[in-house]
Amino acid sequence: MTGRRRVLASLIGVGALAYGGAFGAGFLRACGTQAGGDLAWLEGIERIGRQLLAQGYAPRTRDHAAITAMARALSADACADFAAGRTVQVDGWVIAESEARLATSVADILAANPTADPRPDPNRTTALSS
Amino acid sequence: MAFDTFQDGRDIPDGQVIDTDLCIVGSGAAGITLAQSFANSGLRVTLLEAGGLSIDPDVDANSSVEDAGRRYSPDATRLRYFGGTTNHWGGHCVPLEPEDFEAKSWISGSGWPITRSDLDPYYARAHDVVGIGSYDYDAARISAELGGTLMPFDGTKVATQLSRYRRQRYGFAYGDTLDGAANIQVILYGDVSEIVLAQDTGRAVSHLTVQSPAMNSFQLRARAFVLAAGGIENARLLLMSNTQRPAGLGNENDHVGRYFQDHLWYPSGIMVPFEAPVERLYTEEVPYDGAAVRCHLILSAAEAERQGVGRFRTELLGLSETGQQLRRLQSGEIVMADIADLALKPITVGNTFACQGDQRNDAYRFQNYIQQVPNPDSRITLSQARDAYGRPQARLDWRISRLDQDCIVKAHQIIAQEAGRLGFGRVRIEVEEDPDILLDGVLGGAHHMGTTRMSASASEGVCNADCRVHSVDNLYLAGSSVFPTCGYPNPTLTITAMALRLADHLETRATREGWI
Repeated sequence: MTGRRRVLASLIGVGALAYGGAFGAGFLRACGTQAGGDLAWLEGIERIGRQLLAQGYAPRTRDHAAITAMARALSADACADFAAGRTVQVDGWVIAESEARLATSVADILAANPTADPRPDPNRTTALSS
Repeated sequence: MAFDTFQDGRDIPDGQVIDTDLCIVGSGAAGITLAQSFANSGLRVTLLEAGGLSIDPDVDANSSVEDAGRRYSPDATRLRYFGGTTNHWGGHCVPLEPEDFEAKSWISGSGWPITRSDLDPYYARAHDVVGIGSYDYDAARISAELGGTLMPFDGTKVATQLSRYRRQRYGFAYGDTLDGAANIQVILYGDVSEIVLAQDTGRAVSHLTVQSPAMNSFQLRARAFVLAAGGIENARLLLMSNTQRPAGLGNENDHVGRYFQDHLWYPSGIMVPFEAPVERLYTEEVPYDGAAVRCHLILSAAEAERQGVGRFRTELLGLSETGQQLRRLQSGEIVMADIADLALKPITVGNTFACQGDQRNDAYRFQNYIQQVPNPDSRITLSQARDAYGRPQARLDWRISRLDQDCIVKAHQIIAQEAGRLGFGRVRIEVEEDPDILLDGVLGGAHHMGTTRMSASASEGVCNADCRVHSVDNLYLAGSSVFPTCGYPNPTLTITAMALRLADHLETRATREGWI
């Protein structure tokens, strides 16, 4: 886990960890793969996001506040999405659209700023300063 | 097993005529259930078995099946010896649901001429025959009793369904009863070569012509006859008895052999629960009530109707089969079949062993059993090939349809959505997107059904609600060949219940007509 990802986790982690860390971490549970601690779920989210971006899935944001809000509401939003049939498939996994939006946002930010100082700049609206 | 009174058909003098009241052809779940129902009654019963007390290649060769359609292994899924396929079944028992008996607008050829309530008393009695405890499938109550926790699926779309398990070998369980009953005669190594109608009316069977591997031939005369030889052989026997009726017996409306159905077996999918541990009751048979129980997930009847598909059941697997084999071995349970199997796959064993250590086997894998909807083009016909007796062999053209594929795809999607809606976990769908490739991956579940379907009218099927062939007064059919549709349950419990119901009908008829 890089420092950059750790900080990103802190940005969105309030909601997502309340969500149980399951989204993301759950996909790492396949036999032979250690979950790797409390923050491993982020690896899952980024991986899912990368795959969605590769599939051409567009919805994403680099807005810090939007990502945080998205993460905080993720649990309820995901259940609502499933109830309404708003789902996306990635590598066979059926996930909620809200999860897909969060995942693509995370992957997008990390892809755009591979060496950036990950600490958030409170004066900017993007999640990561460059 | 002494079975001293069992006769060997090879020793019966050529040309001998044997008189009995009820002749049952086939000693599998249906035939043995029927015969033991009459043990020590006033009815003379003859139970005819084509094979002996164990596998005999010569007997098997007389009923090989030409595989003309999609790939299938009919020869590997039948056992032609005393006890029939109960000698290798998995013991899975659950009744058909009430909705399974109803006609459905989206499934052509659906609808039984009887209801679930007609069968309920016989299901209860069938539990005694199979030895699976009380007739109770209340998953919530039983799981609570066992200290288990059911998944949160509420039944509106997806439900937990509890099954009972016992691998009752009917031949072992009831052989002594049949052996000791003075009114029951078991004949081994007797294979029917023709069902012969009485010349006077042409409406009733007068006798069976029977041959043995010793090439002797004898006749069995009875007041009533029951074919209980399996979903393929029942159709073959009717079709090849075509001397007096060219299309075969009961085949006036071209239904015999059609609608061959199996439960479609399609392993795919994985479910990762967020927090709940893998529940043993879903992944193992747990001892209960003198047998065992295990839970599965099903698509509810209401959801199947909403989606316009058949029924779907998935068995959830925790550890892989290899993992289970390794665990048995590590716990000191030595099973030679496990050792032989493990020796053949060293790489898989190595990988599985490595996985077991990380305690991350907390996902469920899906092993799916899907109702095949009736398809008249999926059928048994007679082959050009002949067996040692000169009889035409059976030819199987197994066909499945896009509606079956729809069921597989939609059921996965619905389980995934429900798992998400309830916050239970996430599902990975591993279904092939290309329908042709998907259907290529579908295998049969070794349940041969539908080839002599029961129906209210003669124009729609082969036998009536009493399982009597519509056009023959004293010829009955038993077994899953009479199922018009198959639902998701494995068939043996229903076969047994239907055989008990037929026994009641025959007893009533015997009394009414003074056979006893």
